[in-house]
Amino acid sequence: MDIQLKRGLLEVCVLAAIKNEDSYGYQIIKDMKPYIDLSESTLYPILRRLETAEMLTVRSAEHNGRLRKYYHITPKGIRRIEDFRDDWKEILSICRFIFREDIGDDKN
Amino acid sequence: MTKTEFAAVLRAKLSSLPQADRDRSVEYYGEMIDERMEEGFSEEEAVAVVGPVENIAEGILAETPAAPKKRGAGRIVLWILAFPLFLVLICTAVSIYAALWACVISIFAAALGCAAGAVAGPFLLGLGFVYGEVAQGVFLFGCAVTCGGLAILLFLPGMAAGKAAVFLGRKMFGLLKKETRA
Repeated sequence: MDIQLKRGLLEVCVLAAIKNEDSYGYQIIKDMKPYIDLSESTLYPILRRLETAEMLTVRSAEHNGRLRKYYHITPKGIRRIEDFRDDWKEILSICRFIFREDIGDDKN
Repeated sequence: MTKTEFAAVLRAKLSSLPQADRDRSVEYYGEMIDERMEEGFSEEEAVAVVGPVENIAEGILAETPAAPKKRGAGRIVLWILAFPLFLVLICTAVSIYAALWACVISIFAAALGCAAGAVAGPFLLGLGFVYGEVAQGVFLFGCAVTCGGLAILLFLPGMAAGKAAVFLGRKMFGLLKKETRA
């Protein structure tokens, strides 16, 4: 997949993973595993970008004698997911056009 | 590779980054290794799964935007080198400006002097009559009138020179402001 496209999509994925409750890096990867393979090294820059864009905040909490970073979505992050939901309809239309032969749409 | 070795190598490879970025990266990957170990992986396995440290370092460095520091340093060097020239230019400009104002002041001083002479005229005429030196009195009065004429004549150029000096002053100040802001 185009790198830029994938990055944008994965950013929204990560936000969706922490939308309902705070989560930590490894848990985010495990949550997404059934849907998409995400490696630690791919996740790291995404988390950094989202933090810089103020779409999530980071806090450290103690777990089993070590510190674990928890990520919390911000209102700006929630808006990003909602914007993506609006984009989704447009993406579907675009796909319908691109694959019109495969789905028999070009017979019109 | 142990977790400590991994962290040390990563830290070394990221030495060009600011301290905060370096710490953040090492903490993140350290956490990932810990999580895997908690799941049951051995330390060696956990480090191996997270990935080759070289690739990880490469990825982090690639994400970091280039620091714009160089441009700032070049600017400062230019200013330091140009300073002597700049100083000479400023001194020249100030001297010319001061000379112009000196002219203005001289013209007005002369005008004032003439005006004073003109004012003295009627007194001198009067004194002439009082002391019986009428001819001298009239002569001096004539001189005074000439002075008055001169005063009026000098007034106009004086004003013009003054306006020019003010205009030049404003222009120089404007230029200076532009240069120091840039």
